[in-house]
Amino acid sequence: MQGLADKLEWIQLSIAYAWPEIWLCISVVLLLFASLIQSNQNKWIDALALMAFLISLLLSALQFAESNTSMALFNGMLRLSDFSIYIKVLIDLAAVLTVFMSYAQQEKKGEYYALIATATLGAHLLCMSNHFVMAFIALELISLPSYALAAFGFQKKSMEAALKYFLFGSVASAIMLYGMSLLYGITLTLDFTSATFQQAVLYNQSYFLIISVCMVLIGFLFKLSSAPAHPWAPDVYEAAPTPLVAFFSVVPKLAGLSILLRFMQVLSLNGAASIRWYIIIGLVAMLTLTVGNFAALLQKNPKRMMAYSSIAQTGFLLIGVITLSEQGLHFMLFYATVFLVGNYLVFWYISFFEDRSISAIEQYAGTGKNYPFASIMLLIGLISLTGLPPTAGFMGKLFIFSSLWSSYESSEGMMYLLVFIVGLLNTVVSLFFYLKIPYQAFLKSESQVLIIKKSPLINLLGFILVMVLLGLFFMPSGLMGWLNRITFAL
Amino acid sequence: MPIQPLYILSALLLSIGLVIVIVKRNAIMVLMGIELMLNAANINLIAFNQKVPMSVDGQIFSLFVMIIAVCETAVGLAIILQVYRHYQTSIPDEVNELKG
Amino acid sequence: MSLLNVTFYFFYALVASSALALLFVKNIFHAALALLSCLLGIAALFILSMAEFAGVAQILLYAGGVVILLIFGIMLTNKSGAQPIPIKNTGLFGGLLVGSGLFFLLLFFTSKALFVLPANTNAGSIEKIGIELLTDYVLPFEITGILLLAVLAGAATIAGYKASRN
Repeated sequence: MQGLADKLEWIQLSIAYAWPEIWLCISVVLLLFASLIQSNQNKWIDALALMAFLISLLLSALQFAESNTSMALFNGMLRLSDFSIYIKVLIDLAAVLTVFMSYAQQEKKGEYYALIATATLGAHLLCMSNHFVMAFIALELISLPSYALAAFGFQKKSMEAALKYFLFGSVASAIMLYGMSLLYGITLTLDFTSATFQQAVLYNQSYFLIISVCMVLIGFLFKLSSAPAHPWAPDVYEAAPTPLVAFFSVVPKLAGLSILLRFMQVLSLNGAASIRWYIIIGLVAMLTLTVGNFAALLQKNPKRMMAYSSIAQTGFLLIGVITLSEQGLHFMLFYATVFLVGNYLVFWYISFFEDRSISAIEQYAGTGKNYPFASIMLLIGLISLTGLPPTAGFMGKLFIFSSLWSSYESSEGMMYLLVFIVGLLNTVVSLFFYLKIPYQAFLKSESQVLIIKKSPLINLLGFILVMVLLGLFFMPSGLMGWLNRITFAL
Repeated sequence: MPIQPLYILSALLLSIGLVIVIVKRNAIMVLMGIELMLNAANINLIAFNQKVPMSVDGQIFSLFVMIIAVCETAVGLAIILQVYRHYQTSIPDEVNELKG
Repeated sequence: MSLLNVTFYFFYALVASSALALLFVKNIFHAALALLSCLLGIAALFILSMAEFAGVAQILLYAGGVVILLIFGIMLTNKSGAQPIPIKNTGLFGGLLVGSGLFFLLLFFTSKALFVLPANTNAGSIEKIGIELLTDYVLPFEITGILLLAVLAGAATIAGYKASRN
């Protein structure tokens, strides 16, 4: 049994490269133990969770510093590359910021953080997975804790949101699974980066392949909250606790984006595929942009508005998948980083104002006078999401559109031009709803007396995030220098 | 066993599951529809596994699918139970406090 | 027709008919029973397709786990003593249209490559499954453990929550 010994040795070697994931497994167990001895208002559980995610961030960052070339782990289940490590760093950063935001969570803290750690673990595994079994389990590892977490407000509304999230997500993952089983039938392998898979895909460029791939895509697009799999997002965002909304709008999205990118890269067969997959993704991206931006115009609740905003931002992120080039990949990662920071900044201040019982857009009237600092920070976050200077969001949009333009110039595909035009139009539309809150805050006078509560510590973290956004505008080369190291071989 | 009949059966189960999900106005019934859809995928995996000599990939995938299905049912029923406690119904149409 | 074929098509018909029954029954408890017979029939088909372990696991996990959970769910969400809730249908026409559309899409565009059987079909034994689970599939296998732990903790938290403390 020589083969068996080799496999076991491979597993042993792989463990050295899986420390962030192993640490997350340990923290899930630790946090569940902590939940057994918790009572309400325990600050030490927050500290424990913060430590757990900081260590996992550190471990991922150390992996990034080591600069691995692409390598397969655990007998081909995972593939560790600079790309996936960078996504892992972003995911851990989001988890740390979520813990900072969660100071208001009162009940069931241990379980709350344990489920967040599980979802983070799932996101880590999803962005590395290389194999349908691993991708399916990682996806469910994000989804199932998310369904449970959506119910953690324990209000009437949050239960309803959790039910909708659950039913929608289960159907999406069942359809995805069926698509995977069809692809297994065609290719007879579950490892979708293997040569066998690519060969079989090359020989079977048929309508049937398109149907099965589209079924798989439904599952991925659900995680991205991209149209046509988006209707769950607004309800869940409105009813779930705000820190979790920030988490849902970033972590599953990044993980889903990386698996989608890898899958699409395999299917394109380095340009040998006769089916032009970028057309399908282009249609999805245009639909997502349009649905997200136009629906956001009609919203009165800031969290619902941000739900549609995050759907629209998915459309911009998908442009990185459409171009499918090394440059497009770097620019997409830059955009994802900026999106993460800007999104957390906005949710940070939405939760800040929620604490002061301001939860509808009209109620923001007069906040500019009463909370000048917080309102300016929120304004900068929203400007960054719109993509105006002097924030990093502008650079992100500029990069994304320039990579799309160069794809169009090199291949003359009409789809690239269409996406370009739709994207630009939607950027203009997004201006109208992003500036709704600042309009209320600075130009309307207040109708009711506001209770002013000072909290300098909360503003400190907001200030740091704003500095990152401004810094990335003036010096994008710093981040791009890191990103340029990432090769297109995912 | 022949693959083509099994494939037709799995397509049938997937379609019936989808119809149940769309049509039925009861959360537990929808859950049953989802189970049918997962089983449809499992039948495919087992059927196509017969094409590959000396390999059990499809069978192992189907085992994982079963475990995930159990987890999904557990979470789903917990949520449905709480929804029932709040709304006194498990009919999705009557659960509509959120607009949309 | 050999005995094997007769058994195969018997269970085949059982699965198909109980799935259809699931679509048309009015009583939710009967629906659960139809689902049970459907799942057991699928287990038999697995065993006939040389996947004994998957068949047994199907009986244990689905028939013994999922269906029991569902029946508990039905009993816990029915008002005690009341008549069982009749299942209402809405958008029956649209639903049937989507479902049959999907069915014919999957059958019409099927590629022939799906049904090519190699000369020697040789299904793996249970021993092979065990070895694969602990070598090639060791990571999903372990991760599933974490998933089960976290999910059960989450489900217990939600189901057991009572808003009495405030």
